[in-house]
Amino acid sequence: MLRSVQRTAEIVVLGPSFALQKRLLTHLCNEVVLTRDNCAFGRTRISNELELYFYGLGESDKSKDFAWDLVADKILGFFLLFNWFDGASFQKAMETADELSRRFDAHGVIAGDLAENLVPVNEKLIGYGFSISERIYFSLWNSASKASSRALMRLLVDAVMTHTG
Amino acid sequence: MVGLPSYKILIINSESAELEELARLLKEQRHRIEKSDSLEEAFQFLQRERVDALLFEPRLSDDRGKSFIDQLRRTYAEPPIAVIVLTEEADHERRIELLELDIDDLLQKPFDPREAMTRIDVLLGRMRPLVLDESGQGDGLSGSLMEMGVADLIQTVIIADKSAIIHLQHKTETARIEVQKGEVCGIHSYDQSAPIEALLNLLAWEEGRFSIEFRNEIGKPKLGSEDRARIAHILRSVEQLHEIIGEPFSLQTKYVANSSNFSGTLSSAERSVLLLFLEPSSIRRALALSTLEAEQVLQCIHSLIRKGLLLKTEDYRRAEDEQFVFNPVSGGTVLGAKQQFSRIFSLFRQGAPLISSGESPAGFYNRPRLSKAELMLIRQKFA
Repeated sequence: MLRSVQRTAEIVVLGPSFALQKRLLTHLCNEVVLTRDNCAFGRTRISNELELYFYGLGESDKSKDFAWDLVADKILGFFLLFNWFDGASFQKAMETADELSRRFDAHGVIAGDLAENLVPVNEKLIGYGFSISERIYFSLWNSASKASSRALMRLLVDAVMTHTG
Repeated sequence: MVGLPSYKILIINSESAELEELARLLKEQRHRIEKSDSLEEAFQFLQRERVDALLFEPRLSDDRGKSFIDQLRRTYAEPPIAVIVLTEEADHERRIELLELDIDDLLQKPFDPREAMTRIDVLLGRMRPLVLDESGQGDGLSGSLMEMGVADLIQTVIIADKSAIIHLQHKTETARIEVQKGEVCGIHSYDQSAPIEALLNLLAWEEGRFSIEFRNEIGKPKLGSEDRARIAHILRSVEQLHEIIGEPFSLQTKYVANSSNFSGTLSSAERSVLLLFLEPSSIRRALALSTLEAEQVLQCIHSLIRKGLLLKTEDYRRAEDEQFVFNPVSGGTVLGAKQQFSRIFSLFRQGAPLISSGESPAGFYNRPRLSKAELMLIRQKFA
């Protein structure tokens, strides 16, 4: 049975790795649905009146095809995820970031995943982030850690709150 | 007894051991076998009597076989007679030559009896669509399950308010459904399975033959009242679905539900049913494959259709084709995912009205006007 909520906000999850998108959604959502063509949809209830929806767009270049106008009314922000240790992943993430900046001015967090790292990383470097523009933040992220994913979410909210005063 | 459809088959030159064996097998299947010793005699026979199929082994040394088939096709064009040729030729070219003689099927020696019988049944089933039974009583109906499914057959008898035995044959398997005064009162399956299970298996039969034997009385119901009620419910559900989606009876989905973190939008039963439609599939097949109770499967299919997650296969294909839409805003960018996302959005957004947009910032898009308190709530949720 579908539940009725009064207000929703939406978050788009982008990046060259669908696996990373799924991991983030699994960490942040109560419910996740995968589609055959590698899209992931998740939602989590914040209160009786407010619910967040997450859209993971998969590995292909769906950010260009995505129905941005359909989510535009309700978009809270986006996550752009990439593998910090993979040059190709970084390159694709940069291209997506360029595309986004041309088309769309929502708040967002660009996150470099450190889960594959072979050397220890100072925990304080993960999930805190810094702003790289008025609306966009960058952060390191440990995709194997639910706490790290939640920290990313807080970072996005902080970005929105800072901008809206 | 009318029983399974019976055909009249003429075998030419039955002195051949293999043809004799085929004649024996066909007789066992209750087909009527006629024999003639030569092509000439066969033609004389055909002038007197009508047959459904001819079975013979043409000689390689002359082209009398070809002349015979030519004459047969000219003389008996409609309704056609099925011509089945037996050959020991393994040579590819020779087999093609035989097929070019305008024959309907070719059995190569040595043949597997089951395969041979199945091929002959399928061929005859295709060549003779739904016809009134020729028993002379005018009280029977026989035909191919490709034209009338098992559910349709039962409904036909029920709507006619008659009592009848429906005989079914699918390959080498047979079954019998007894209907009395608007109600299924007996199901006898080839594998002796329980009635409900048997019915579900039978609903999945999409090929084969049937015949309906109308009777004044069937006898005492062999099914209990509970089973009869369940069967009636299943048939009603199938009929309702039929009304919703029409023909072809095929559905498809592109959505896969993740089992671990999914609790609200789809039930576990719905998820399992959805998985049955990753490829185009009929409801009958889903009923046969699912481990759930039939009523539950049908209920889930209803629900998934309502939620937009199951589409008629033809609509699914059309939607796929329509993905290539010119987008004037992006200057020709292909909006491949738009329809797909809009479908998902409509599912997710049910009961959740849009948040009104604030003033548009410098960019192209708006964003939701969440209050600071709401943002704090979100932050707290992920603390």
